[in-house]
Amino acid sequence: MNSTPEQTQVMVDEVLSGNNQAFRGIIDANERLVRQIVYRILPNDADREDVCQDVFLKVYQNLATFQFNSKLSTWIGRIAYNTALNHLEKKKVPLVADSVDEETTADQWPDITDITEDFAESRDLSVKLAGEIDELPVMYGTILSLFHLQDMQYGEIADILSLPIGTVKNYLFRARRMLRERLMQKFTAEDLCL
Amino acid sequence: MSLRNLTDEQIQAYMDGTLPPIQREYVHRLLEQDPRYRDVLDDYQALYGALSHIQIPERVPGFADRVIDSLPAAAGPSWSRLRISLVAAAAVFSAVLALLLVPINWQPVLNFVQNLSLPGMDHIRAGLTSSLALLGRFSDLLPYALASLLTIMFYSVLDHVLRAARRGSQTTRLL
Repeated sequence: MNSTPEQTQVMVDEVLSGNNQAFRGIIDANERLVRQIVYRILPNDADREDVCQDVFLKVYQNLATFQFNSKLSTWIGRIAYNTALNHLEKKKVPLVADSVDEETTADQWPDITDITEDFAESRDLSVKLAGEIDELPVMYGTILSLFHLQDMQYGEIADILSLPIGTVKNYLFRARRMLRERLMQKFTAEDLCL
Repeated sequence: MSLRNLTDEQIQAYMDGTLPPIQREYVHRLLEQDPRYRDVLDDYQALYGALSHIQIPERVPGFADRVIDSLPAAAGPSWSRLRISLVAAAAVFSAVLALLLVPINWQPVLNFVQNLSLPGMDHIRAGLTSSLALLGRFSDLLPYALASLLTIMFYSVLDHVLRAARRGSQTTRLL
């Protein structure tokens, strides 16, 4: 979420004063982040939508406790992470690499109707890479996604996952090394460069 | 400096731009000098580039509507719940106050005020006397009127204090 602290405070105040429509702005600004985290952790497509909705209900119910010590998006990300983990625990799903195959992964990302040649190549690469990230341990994939796809800093990721910054860096380095080794076994650098 | 000192992590940190300037310069020189490290750097550059093309989940149409529609069923923000508690507290306060005020005999109080001498302010006295006479006819309702008035004051003051405290703490956190 790119709003300033002042804008965030205004938005939060609006919601807290009972303006439910103001909550739409918070949902719109953070839905992709929440989906990114929830999708990364939960392998079952059927659970994901419910959990995403549950995340925002928790955000709404606990908004008055938001301390403004971090970005609102970081706070929401932490709720998303904890909610997804709790869901896994309830369902007794082990926190291991996702069992999703490449076909499934491709279906979960958005449909692309206007396909140019370059775009088709990038989508193909995107699918391959997404498949490789799915094969990584879930924590590695989550950190990798937050850093590279959500442009988050080490500190923000550490806040969301309740991990020390050093651990986040360590996991990120390991994740990229694993990904690099796996990809280089399967593809050439030219395949990866568009 | 030995080229063997350069680690995979340092190359990644170099790519991330998180190395301090001196270390960054050091790694930069080693990368320029040793083709083995350059190969690793090339691999990571390709990987970073490829990662930037990954599609992230899109927003789902109608999702925000579904969440907002489900909000009334949820327990609402804590602040709203606090204000509901405040209204409940005011109602209890009002009931207790009425119970305390009803047994009091108000007629002597009214008589005392009516007999007050207000030198030089006859027109005020006349207005006050007629008002009190009217009020005297409804003296049974006086405790309830007072209880209501005090309850409104109680609620307004408490609400104002709570809002000020909350805004104050949030503003302090933003500074």
